[in-house]
Amino acid sequence: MFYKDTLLKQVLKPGRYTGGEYGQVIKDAAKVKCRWAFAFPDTYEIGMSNLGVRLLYGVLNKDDDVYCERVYAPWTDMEEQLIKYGLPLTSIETGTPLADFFDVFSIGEGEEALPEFSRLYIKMKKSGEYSRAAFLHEAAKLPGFYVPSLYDVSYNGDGTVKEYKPVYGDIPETVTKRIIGDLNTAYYPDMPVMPYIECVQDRITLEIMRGCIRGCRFCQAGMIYRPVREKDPVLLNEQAKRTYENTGYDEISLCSLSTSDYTGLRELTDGLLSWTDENMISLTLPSLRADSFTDELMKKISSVRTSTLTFAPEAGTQRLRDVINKNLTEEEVLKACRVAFAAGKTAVKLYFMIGHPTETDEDIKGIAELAKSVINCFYETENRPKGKPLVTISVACFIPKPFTAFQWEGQNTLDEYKRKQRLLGSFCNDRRIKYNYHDADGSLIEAVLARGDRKLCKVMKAACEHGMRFDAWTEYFDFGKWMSLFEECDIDPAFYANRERSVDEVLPWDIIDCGVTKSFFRREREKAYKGETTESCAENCAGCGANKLGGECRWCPSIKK
Amino acid sequence: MVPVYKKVRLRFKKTGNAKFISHLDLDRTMKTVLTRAKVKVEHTHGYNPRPYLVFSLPTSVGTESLCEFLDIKVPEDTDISLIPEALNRNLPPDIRVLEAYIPESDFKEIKYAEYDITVISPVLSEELAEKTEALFKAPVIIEKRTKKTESGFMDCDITPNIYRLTAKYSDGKMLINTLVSAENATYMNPENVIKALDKYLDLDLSDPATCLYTVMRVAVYTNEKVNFM
Ligand code: SF4
Repeated sequence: MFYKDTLLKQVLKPGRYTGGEYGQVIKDAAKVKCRWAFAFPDTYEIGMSNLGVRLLYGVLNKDDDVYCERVYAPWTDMEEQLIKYGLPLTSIETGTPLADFFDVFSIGEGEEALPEFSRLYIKMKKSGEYSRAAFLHEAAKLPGFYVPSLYDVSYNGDGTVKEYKPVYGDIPETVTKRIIGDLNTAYYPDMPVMPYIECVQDRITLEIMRGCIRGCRFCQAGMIYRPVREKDPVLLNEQAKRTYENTGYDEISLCSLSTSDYTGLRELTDGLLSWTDENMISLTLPSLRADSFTDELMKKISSVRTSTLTFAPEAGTQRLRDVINKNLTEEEVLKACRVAFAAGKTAVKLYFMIGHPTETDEDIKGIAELAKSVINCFYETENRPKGKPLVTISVACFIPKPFTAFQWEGQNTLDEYKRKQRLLGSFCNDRRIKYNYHDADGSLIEAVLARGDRKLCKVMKAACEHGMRFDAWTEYFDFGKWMSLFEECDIDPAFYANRERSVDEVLPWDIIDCGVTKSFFRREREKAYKGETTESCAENCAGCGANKLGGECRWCPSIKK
Repeated sequence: MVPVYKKVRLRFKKTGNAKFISHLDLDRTMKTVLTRAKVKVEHTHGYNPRPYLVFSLPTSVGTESLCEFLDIKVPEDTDISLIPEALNRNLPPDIRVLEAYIPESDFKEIKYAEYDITVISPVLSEELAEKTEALFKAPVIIEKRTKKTESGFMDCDITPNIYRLTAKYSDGKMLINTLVSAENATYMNPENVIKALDKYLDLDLSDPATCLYTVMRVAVYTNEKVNFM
């Protein structure tokens, strides 16, 4: 006999592990033909808030003969208990153990791909063709599935990748990302599981579009979710209402990479407000561009009304904002602040990054100067509120990412980052400016992992064996441990983080085709160095290549067949 | 026209997995459940309106209960006989609304709570059950959290707040039934009984391979020792 309750009484937040929530899907495991353990590599509270998890849990369980269960990372106290009593990690629903590692990656949007994967499995099981190897081979032929073991990698003498070679002739040389062509007909999770315990996001997440029309050159999300597809505002309104009736949440978050660029925003917010106000539901926006911040939005959106306003100029000078293609002028930032001040706010928060390509000390100084201009702008606003303004600047370290125009860049060294952080501190000599900056150490580790190749697998394995867990949580991040792991595994972090790649180097992620072409990234990089900007998709198609993936896109030119 | 509301009391049980829900989580769960069930309730006025929900004394995390109470305010013309079923359709299986009625009493009238505590451990015996009963006839000193001392802890005798405690051994289990104070000032958490067993009788119940204890609040009473309604 094992008394799970006795164990649960000894860990923090036992509600993370009990299941039994309203909306949980329970099926007879003996009667289904295909079982998924949907494992999320972070805690329950974070995983339960993730729209992707809600979506795929729902879409997989839609099939009667498929059973998808949820697994979350146990917090360290629970892990200790599991090890102490020799217990396996189990799913929330039925308590099934997990054993193996990754065999296959689903690349891109999974709503259609994962059910196809279930079907393939069921078909092969039924016909008797199934073996692990045969299944993986067949899976690699499905569009959008990358089976790493079926691609051999060779390296050059200097450690760079020479080539990726498929093991079989009948699997693709590069794996093309999957997209959902028409978001209006795609599955929408209007009946998510309702967690007992407080989660990071206890609200309705209404995804209004996928992709981003802006072309910020540092931003990976802006590229890998292309092409931009919008959802119909009338449909969104219906889905929001249904989800409200099914969940009872009192907050709706309009979610996308750049919500103010959604062309149906006015129609959608008008539609929502026709029933949300009387039911005391608040509307929130996760992100807002300063150039789209208006009086009207301020009146409609509760998060804009009640919280501190946050804008992300990302760089301190116009020159550098042009380099990163932020397409935001100082005047636009100040105008947005004036609207905020006139509406009674005294505090704004500005997000920046340091370490962008071509950055000089002038650009660092520019960050402090922009903050000072915002302070002056407060005093120039005639109907400003009483009191003093407060401008918080939050400054992160740039991490070059795959699938961006800056994927070839070397990251600033730690010493350089620390010098720049101090330098900026010396310019922020005004008590009305609050200067926050992120630890540079973490961004070095992230930079190594972001552009790593398979040689880093041994680091990940060693990290796991050394008991390193939840490294994205500051209380568990230990820079020294990571550096000694690199040494132990004979990995030079500078090779991955600080080295500038040559443009014709084979990059570890070239095996994936995200739609946007490498030549587009190269063009964008050249323009960055010349300080030239690129227009958004709404103004002019920049020919990024993502339109070849198809889909119902407002802006993309269709491909001539 | 300002709508007229009436106060309705819900009696509900929370058992199984729901025992791990904290009071705050229960509050949040009930709010969404009322919306899902389309039970209209009065909201507080002001900038950030919240539904008017008042719970009777909450049980601590880990304790099951057959007698939890929640007061809500619904529009005068609501048929309250339909409320329990509407809510149960939208509640997780481990929380069930048992009845809904117009209350005639106040939560302040709750004076006593009765708990059933079941203990499973290989070291149990009839003798231990006898010792358990005897234990609570003399002072039992338990460390309690307090703001009064610097260390944040204070030794307290819990027996003045225990009015009755019986222990029986049967079939490898010890069944404890106890009546304790549920008043604000002298409220007794039944977990203290478990702590006392550990401290005085060396009954360690932390090994999940062999031990278990469950605590169930079975009833609450008024001053007159009648069931609180
Ligand atoms: S193809 Fe053109 S319009 Fe479409 S995402 Fe790329 S740049 Fe934008």
